[in-house]
Amino acid sequence: MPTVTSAPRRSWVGRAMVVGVVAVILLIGGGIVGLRTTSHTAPAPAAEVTNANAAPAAASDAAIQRAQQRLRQVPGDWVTWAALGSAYLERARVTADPSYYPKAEGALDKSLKLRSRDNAAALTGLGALANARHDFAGAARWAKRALAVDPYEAEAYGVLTDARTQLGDPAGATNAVQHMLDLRPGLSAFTRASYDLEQHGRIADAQTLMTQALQDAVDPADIAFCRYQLGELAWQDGRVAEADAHYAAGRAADPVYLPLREGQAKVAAARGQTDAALREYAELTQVYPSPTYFLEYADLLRSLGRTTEANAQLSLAAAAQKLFIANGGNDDLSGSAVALAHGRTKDAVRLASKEWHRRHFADVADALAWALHADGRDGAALPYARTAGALGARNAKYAFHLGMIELAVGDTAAARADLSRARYINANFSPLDGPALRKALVQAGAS
Amino acid sequence: MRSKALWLVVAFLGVLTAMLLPAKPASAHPLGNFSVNQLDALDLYPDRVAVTAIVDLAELPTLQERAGVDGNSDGTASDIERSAYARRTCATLAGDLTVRVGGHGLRWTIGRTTLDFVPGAAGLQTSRLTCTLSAPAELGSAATLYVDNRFRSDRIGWREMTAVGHDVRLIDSPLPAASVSDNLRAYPKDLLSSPLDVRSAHLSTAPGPGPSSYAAAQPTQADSPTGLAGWSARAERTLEGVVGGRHLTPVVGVLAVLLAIALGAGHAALPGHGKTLMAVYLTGQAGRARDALGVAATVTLTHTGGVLALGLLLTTVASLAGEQILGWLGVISGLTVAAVGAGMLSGAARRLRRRAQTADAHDQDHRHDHRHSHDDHSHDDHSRDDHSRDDHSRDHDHEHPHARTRHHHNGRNHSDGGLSRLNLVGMGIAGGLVPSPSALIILLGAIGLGRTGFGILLVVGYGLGMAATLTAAGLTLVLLRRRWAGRLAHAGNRWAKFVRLAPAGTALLVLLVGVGLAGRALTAFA
Repeated sequence: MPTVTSAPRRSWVGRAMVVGVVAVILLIGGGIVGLRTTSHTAPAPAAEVTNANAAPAAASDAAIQRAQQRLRQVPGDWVTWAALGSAYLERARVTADPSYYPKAEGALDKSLKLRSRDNAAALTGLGALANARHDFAGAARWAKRALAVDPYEAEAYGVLTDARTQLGDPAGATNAVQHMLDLRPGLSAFTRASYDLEQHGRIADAQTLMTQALQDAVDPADIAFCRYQLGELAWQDGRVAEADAHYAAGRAADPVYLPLREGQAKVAAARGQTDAALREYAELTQVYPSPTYFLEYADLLRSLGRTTEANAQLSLAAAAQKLFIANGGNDDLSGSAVALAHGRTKDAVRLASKEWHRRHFADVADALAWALHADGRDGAALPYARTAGALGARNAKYAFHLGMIELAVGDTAAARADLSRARYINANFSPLDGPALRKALVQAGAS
Repeated sequence: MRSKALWLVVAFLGVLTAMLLPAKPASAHPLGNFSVNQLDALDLYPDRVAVTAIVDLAELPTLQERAGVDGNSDGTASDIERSAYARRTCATLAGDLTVRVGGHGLRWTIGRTTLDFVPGAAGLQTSRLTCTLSAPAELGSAATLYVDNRFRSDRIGWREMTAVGHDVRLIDSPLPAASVSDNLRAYPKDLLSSPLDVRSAHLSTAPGPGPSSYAAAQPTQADSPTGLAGWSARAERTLEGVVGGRHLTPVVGVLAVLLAIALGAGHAALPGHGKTLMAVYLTGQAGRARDALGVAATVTLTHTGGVLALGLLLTTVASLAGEQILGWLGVISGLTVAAVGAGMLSGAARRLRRRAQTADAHDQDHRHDHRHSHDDHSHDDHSRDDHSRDDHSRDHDHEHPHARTRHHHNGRNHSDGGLSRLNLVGMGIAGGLVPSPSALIILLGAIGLGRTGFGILLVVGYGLGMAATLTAAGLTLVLLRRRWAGRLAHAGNRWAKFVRLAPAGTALLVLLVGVGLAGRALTAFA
């Protein structure tokens, strides 16, 4: 009997081996010959051929593609429509490509159309879009509607924080960001809380939070974003070398994140490496021609005495601003800056006050004060210049503007204190205003 | 009541505002005011490659280039200045556009170049640069091409490529023949497509005229099959619509479940499913009603479980790609079928061998076998046995039970009976392992909408429908086979040989089908 049982077992093993070997050989054969029968699975979407710059944006790209594919199959999926809209927005932020804004809006609207009740995700996305378009009051409204539907929607608190900060409601912003931190202490909550602290002049705390955010960041684009913010904090505090290190680390993580280039250009200009700075600005304005970058570039050129080139950049800034308005955007803050750079002081004052009526944000107060100063109305400028620094922000530009206005109204002692403060905070805050600051300090009687 | 009405008005106004917000001036560049958009249209001839490169610069880049166009800085771009600029820029473009044929880079000759200004937003202009390039190339025999455009690669914008063969055939071209943006004049506004960003492509060509094949079909041009497949595709869309729909009343829910059952039944009836395998298997084996039910139940259980598991996996682990998993499941399923086929084949071969050795001396053994098998068999088989024993010669009498009860030799009936059941279960698992994409989509959609329970219900309905079709198919086959076997038995000796060889043939068929399925799943990866 034992022999009877052992014989089949041996043949079992042998059979299994034969089956395995034959199966593998046949399988390889089948694979090579390529049995290209058309698959009966769902039709795959068109393979977008190649995408050379895919690496850094890969995460948001993958999210977008997944959502697109899903919605081709389930067009009624309002949750994914809202997610797609937010992913488009994120893509617009990372790539600075505004053609994603209409797509984001379309997707978010579609989500809201499919489900008008209880759709906090779409409402939040529309709020974020409004923020991106500088419609801060609208953003706050969307965020509140989202929170009415779902009080635990952390992102809605983020939108509300941004909107309130820009609208000049610092207490409300702090309150909102605290909610966000409680609900979801992650990258976006940390960066917003950090900005909130920065507004109050608490640079060290802001830096600690931003470092925490950096530790949470995984996506190269997020790392670059955190590095840029850390670089800005160091830059505004006058620590050039540290800022440079952050900008460089950010570019190593994601070479296409544009604001890092602006940071490096600023650093190069501050270090007197003007050629490098000019090259960086030239490339930056080619890739991303925003009024702000044109103005900074023009400032650098003007500080070097290259007026013709500076004027060319200024007219580009004006054109960019005109286009922004023509596209339905309203940003009278940068409109005021462009007008001021062109020497149209009346326009600058008009635009800045228009923006001030809309929102009482520190930047707007500062711009209005500086425009009034340029227009020779220093008495009217002084309260706005004081308002800009009222929260306690450590900002060299605010301090410089305030000091200059105080100097103009004859308050030399206050001027000396504020101008010294500006120099102490960040002597490199502007290639054009830096020398003016030094001259004014002499004028105010400082050593 | 009033506050609710007020809220509704506010909500309506909000939505209205949101809808009106994008109402931008029609003249604004659709891809943003600072995009640099490019199209490279390739024309492949047996002796050369020609490229029409179009660059559509939006308002700001146009303005930034203005200084370059206006050579004498007099504020206007004269015709001479324009053509000089076009020529210069096209030379740069030609330097940045690489086309390699069989590894050799082409050297471009620049033909016609033009620069046109088109009115844009805010009283500004956009510009349109057209460059025609050509270079000699050997496309008279099969060749591979590599195209890479690095012109202004850091600029934001639409990047498109097309390829057309003239007496040159393109094989599985990744590039379409026609521009989807009407040569950068009308950019698609589809919300479900990102701006095109094609910077490079590999092409393979063959000589001679003929239709070029374009590999990547547009999702919008999804095939609209007719007949059963078309019906089920339409029904799937309806069901997906119901799952994603706003309102889910009980009536709609019940209808949806019924539709899911019908869809499952239809799905199982489509070619390429476990049904085919089972048919082959049952004709080769001594199929019984119980076997048919068993396979159908296994298929249904595996499929339902598989869809549920995969659905949960895909919703919890975001990094998983559904297609990838489906592909691997396809491979596993094919391998399982092949393994079952191989097992059947070796069993059939052994039996044939043994039959050759069988002598009358084994009669005693056989009687013993039959007793065993009778214990095992259902009543139908008894009656069939009786029938054949009554009516036929001793040879047939011997043949039939032999063919049918071939697992029951030499006291190994138990282990072999187990193997047979294992085969059946393996077949069922193979048939149900690859979740039907539509069931998966319905489940994912339901989970996404917070209707997980409803989704599971639909998937179970799907499985029930499949089971119904498969059982029906299996039972029909068992029935047919029984009649057929009887007829064959009547037909005499000529068929005996065929019947003897049939198991080996079907085993081979199962093996080949399995290999084919696995191979097809594998090639889907390539």
